Amino acid sequence: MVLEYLPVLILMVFALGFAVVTIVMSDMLRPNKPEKVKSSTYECGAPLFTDARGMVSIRFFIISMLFLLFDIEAAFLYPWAINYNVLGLFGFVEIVIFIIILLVGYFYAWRKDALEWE
Amino acid sequence: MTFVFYLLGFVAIVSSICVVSFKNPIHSALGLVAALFSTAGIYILLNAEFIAVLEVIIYAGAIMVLFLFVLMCLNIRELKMMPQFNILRPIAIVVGAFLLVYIVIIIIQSNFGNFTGVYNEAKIIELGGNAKALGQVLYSRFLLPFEIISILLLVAMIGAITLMKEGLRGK
Amino acid sequence: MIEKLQFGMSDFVALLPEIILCVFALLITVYDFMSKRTNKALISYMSQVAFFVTLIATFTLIGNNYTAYSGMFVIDTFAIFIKVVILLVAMISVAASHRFITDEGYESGEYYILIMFSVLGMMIMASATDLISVFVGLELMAIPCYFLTGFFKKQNRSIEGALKYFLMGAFSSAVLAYGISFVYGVTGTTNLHKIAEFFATQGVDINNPALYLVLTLFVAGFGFKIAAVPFHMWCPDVYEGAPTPITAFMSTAVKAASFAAFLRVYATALPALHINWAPTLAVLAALTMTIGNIVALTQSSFKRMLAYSSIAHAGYILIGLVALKVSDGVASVLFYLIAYAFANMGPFIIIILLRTKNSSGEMLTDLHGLGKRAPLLAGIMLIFMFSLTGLPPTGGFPGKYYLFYAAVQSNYVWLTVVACINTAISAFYYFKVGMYMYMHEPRNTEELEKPSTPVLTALYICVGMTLLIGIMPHRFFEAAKQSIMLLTS
Repeated sequence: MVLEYLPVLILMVFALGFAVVTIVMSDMLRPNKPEKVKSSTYECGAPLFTDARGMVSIRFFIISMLFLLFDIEAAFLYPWAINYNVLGLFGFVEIVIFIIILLVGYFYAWRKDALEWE
Repeated sequence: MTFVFYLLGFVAIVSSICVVSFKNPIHSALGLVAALFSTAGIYILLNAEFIAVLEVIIYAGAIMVLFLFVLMCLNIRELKMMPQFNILRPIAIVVGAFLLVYIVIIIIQSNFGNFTGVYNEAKIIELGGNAKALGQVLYSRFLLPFEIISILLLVAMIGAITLMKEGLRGK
Repeated sequence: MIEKLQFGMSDFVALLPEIILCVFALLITVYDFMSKRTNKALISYMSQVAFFVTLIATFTLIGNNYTAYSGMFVIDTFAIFIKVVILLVAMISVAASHRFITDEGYESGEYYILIMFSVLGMMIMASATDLISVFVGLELMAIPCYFLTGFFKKQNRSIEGALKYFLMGAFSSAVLAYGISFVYGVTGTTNLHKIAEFFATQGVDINNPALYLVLTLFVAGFGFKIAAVPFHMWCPDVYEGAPTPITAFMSTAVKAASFAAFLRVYATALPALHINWAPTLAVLAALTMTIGNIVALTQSSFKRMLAYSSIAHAGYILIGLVALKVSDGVASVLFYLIAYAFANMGPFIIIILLRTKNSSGEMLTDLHGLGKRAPLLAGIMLIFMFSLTGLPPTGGFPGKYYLFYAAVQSNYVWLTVVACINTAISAFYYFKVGMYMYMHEPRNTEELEKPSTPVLTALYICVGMTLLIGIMPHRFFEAAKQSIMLLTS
């Protein structure tokens, strides 16, 4: 049973190996003569006054937080969906209550402008 | 199989140590991703493939993304250690080491009950796998915690949006 | 399917108060976001109505005793007692925050919604007979409290308190979950009654080291929530930074619900291990009382002093937990919880009433000369200080008496002596308040604004209950004794 997941492990090893090997091999095979001007940041020739990190808007954070909460909701929906016929009407009502409570949350996020992107 | 378990355990422990000791917080986040993947591997070894997949999808997929967004918002370049000598740091190291030794000895020496419940390996395979068995238990026996969890998620949403309201309006 | 699906009318009826509260909270949330111009004061009244209806529903369940939801939830007198206390505390806190939130400039409906969901979590915790339900209820209680602590976003100390509370709370929940997993490993079940059955049939293997680890982790997890001593560091900062009605709510309701869960887990699942955990809890109680009282002596902020005093009171209540085997031990815990709830909310309400334009009302210097500025408030404050010290005719006196009696009956005389010494130490700072009020000249001579009716009603209810419990303790103690009869069965 567990051995059925061996292909997953092989796939991960190959993916990781591909990334690592290309970077390491290219690092070993290329000439490496660093100079001060060569390794400074390029900004179309203009002198720099700050580094590249700007203020990321808080919108990203709110969207990813909402994604997390609804992802967890979806994770609870998977086992119910598989057992739909076994759980019957009672299971259906129970999952509908779950979804309705989270639907209230969704409408709340909508009306409180959490989904605005401006 | 034990070799795979030891390998995954080793990766998990080493990457967890990396999480708390790297200076750059983005490197710590990558260490945490490695720890989560190895934990998911250990779950697969325990025949809990659904939990493994959930760990990757939710934990490494949504929570780590959230961490990285927060780290980008905060814009920390490198964490600096506190310069002055604080008496609490060696005390914390001693207490932590003691706790580690205590827990390890307890786990090695204690006898966890040899009981087999209804859900042994053969029964789970007969039911159709880990996800199906989990679903049948979750929505019948654990009905009450399940519904409370939906309210918990709702509260997290309401609270987070309440705290961030000023950042939203007028932008 | 293996698991039998059992859901009948009795399951629905058992959860009726919680369902009512949840439906009200959802409707209020919908009302809150429906239009941009919702009347926030109306939300305050609606939440009071919700709590009141839930209280009525809880009263109708008196007399029942059965488990529901496959052993996850129980209706018995203990659960109803705790739920009534929590709902009363919630109603008083919501009444006390009338205009307080608006005056500070943070008017929003989410305040009341979060309080309602936190109360829902507390009600689940009070009735939980499975470690999973306890854990889920604990999280549902705690998460709105994290947000409510940080509600005053512009104030640094509010955000600081919320951050500290959240980080330490999350960590202690993780420790508790680790303990629950070890209990599952040893006994094969998370149901409290089945754990007790396991220990009864298989016998307690004293040499099984996992049990010690379980006890350690449980004490750490629950001890954080009740602010017992090695786990109390979050308490003063959080109580000082949170809005004052929320501090009143947290210091009473959260402690009551956490003690209820602590009591139920230890009385139902772990009485066989009493010999192991009782000495630890006794030492913890002694440390908690001593450190709470001694540090409270040095505070200059009244709110912080009350925070340390609430840490000390958690120590007194732990004595009742140690005396679990005695028939009056658990009942004394319940009695003290109700006496302490009303006596502790009162000073916070008075702090709210002392707020003026230039001062927040929470330093000890604001109490100077209160006897001249507002004699009624000073008299009421004196009653609360008497109750917290443990003097008759207020509720604190029978509370402490029953606790110490239970401790002596279970042969923990040294603990009783420590507790009496601590009561004497606490008298110093409680009487300091009285001295400032009556024997000093007022430092802050601003006119106090006229208190609004809900806040005054809340205050009168607190002082009335304190005096009532002090004058007629037998009624309440009999009710508490009724509650525990079926706890260990």
